[in-house]
Amino acid sequence: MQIKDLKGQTISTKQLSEESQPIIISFWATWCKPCLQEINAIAENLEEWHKETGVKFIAISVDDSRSKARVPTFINSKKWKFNRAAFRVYFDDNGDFQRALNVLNVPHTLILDAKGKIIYQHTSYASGDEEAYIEVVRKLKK
Amino acid sequence: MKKTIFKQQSHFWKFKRKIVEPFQGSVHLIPYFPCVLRRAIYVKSLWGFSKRKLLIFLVFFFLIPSLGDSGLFAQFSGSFQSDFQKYTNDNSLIYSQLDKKFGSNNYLTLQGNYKKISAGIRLEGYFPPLLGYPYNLEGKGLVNRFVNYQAKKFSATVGNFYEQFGSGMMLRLQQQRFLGMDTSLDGFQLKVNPTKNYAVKLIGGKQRLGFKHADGIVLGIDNEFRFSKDSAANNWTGGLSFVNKNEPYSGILKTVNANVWAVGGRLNFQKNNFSFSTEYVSKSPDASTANRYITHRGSGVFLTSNLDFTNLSLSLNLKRIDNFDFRSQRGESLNNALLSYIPATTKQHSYRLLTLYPYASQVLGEVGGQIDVVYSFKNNATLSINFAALNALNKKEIATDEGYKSDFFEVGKEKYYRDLNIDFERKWSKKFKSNLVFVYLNYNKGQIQGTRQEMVKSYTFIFDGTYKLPKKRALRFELQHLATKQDAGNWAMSLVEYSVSPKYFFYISDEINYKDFDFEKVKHFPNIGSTFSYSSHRISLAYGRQREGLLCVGGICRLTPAYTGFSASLTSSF
Repeated sequence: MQIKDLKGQTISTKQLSEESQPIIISFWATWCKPCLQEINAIAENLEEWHKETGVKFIAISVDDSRSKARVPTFINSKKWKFNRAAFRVYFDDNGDFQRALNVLNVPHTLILDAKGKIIYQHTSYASGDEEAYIEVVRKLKK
Repeated sequence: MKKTIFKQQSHFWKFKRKIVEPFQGSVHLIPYFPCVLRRAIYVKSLWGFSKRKLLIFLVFFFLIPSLGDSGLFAQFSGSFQSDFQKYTNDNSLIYSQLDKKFGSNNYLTLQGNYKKISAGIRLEGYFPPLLGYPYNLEGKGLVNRFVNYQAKKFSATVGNFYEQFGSGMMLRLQQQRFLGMDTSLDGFQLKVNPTKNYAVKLIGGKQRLGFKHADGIVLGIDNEFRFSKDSAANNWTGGLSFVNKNEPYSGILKTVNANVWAVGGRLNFQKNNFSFSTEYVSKSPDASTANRYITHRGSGVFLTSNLDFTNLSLSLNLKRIDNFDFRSQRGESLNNALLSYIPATTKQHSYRLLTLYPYASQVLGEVGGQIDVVYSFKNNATLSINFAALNALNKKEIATDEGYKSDFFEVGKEKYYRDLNIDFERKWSKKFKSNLVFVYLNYNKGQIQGTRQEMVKSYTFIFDGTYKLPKKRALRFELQHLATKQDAGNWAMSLVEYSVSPKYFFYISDEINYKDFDFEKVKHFPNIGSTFSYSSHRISLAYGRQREGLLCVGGICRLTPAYTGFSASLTSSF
């Protein structure tokens, strides 16, 4: 399965499961309000979480060519700390990766352990859900 | 029974009008009806067909693991979705015309992989489809099955697959479950990456159309090039694509070609905080129901650019579309058998009242664009301004089969859409956040929705606030007001949401429609609902009255008729 980075370069999704650190993957779109709330909430805490557990965050945009151009604008204006190691954004233009992971709606969040195995999934977002995510990651570290 | 899918494209609405208006003697009006008449036939023949295929797949799924080293698949996964609606009597024409007073859409996907091979199936059942979903979905069947082999430098798929060339203008095989749209190709797909800087895709097959296949055979090739080294500051990429559709024709119209092809090229550039991409597509004469059997060549240009500074981001979209409705079955309409995808270059609004007047790409001709300006203040505040404008092409009708001529650089006088929207977002404290939105809209309802010709001018104000409560609880409320002298008049809405993270979510809302402050004639559209999420499973329940509206994804839309009733939905990934 292939996804693209912000420069338009193709990345194999296999690489995501070879991070050797836990990762939080969130499927989102620029037109999805709860998705933006979720990423904002994660971005605010990520630095701290990354130091504590080594967790990385990957936001997969399902925006198509209509709204794709807004993605870099969002990243810039929302001041998402764009630390390449801990926070990355990719495009899944036509939903191939989304279908492979059985993602039906956005936001949909998955947590992968250091071996790349999916250990937690959550759909929709309500304020405070990010606490549940980091709890799952902390349990892994114990 | 008014139960159909509407794609917001001008040609469709014109046809819809034509069916109601006195018959004008055009041959091509007829193809609209057979899909309804043939419904029963597809379902019967395909279910028999699918059972056999299903058996082969089940054998594949359960036999192969026993041959494997571990005796189990490395991964086995799937998803299930079931949407149910029960309509209650609201004394409406729609309700009285419904055969069954309920609808149910169901989808089951199963996927597995073993070493380099992956395979999957999807079953769909509509008993009958929910209000607003296409007719040709009534029934059940195996609608998607594939086997894929993935090696380091290539990937090969046989069966159903999805694909997109460039921005998708020429080819986008997509699934939009929300719209009842699935244009997957059933055939073969080969992707090869011989070098780091070159990738090629070859595809061929027939498109899914309801529970059967569209008539045309589609073949396509897409080449993607990277012109820069990894270390280069300037990042150049580009692509060239070609798609051919062959659909036999035995009719009497001389303008119809069995073979239609499209060719396109794209170029992207990125350097530091600047990016630019453009794509041009062109299509050979393609006389079809959509364009009323003219031979004018189709074309499309799409341009995007971004420029980012520390606190300021700018983005620009421009496009010009001329007669670009590309399908693998020329008599089809709405979202059926669509190959092309023309993105709408307007902001996709998510607030409820703004979904009253959404823009949809006018694939037979439009020119325009949008600009976004986003400024971030130091005190956790963001100001976003978006302006979009779309007009008709300047078409000069001519008496030949070509139908019309249009100059590339001329903009037509007819306005389709104007949208100026300003959104101010501020996080006041750790607990409270708000959005204030203003929108001024000009909406050519006659063109976009095919109703009476009318330019709807509206002013909308929205206030949206989220208040975080202790113990992972949150309260969110929205107040919206849309003022217009045209169409149905003014609308107001209030919504309250209460969530207990991560499992529970409740909401209550009311939308009202009023004109001239005559409060006796106020129409209410109240709704109440709740969602329960656990892991990747979710159940939602709702009851209320829905107004008629267009549901849109990326500029493709479907009309949902007004109804009153109860709805339940279950989604689950495993």
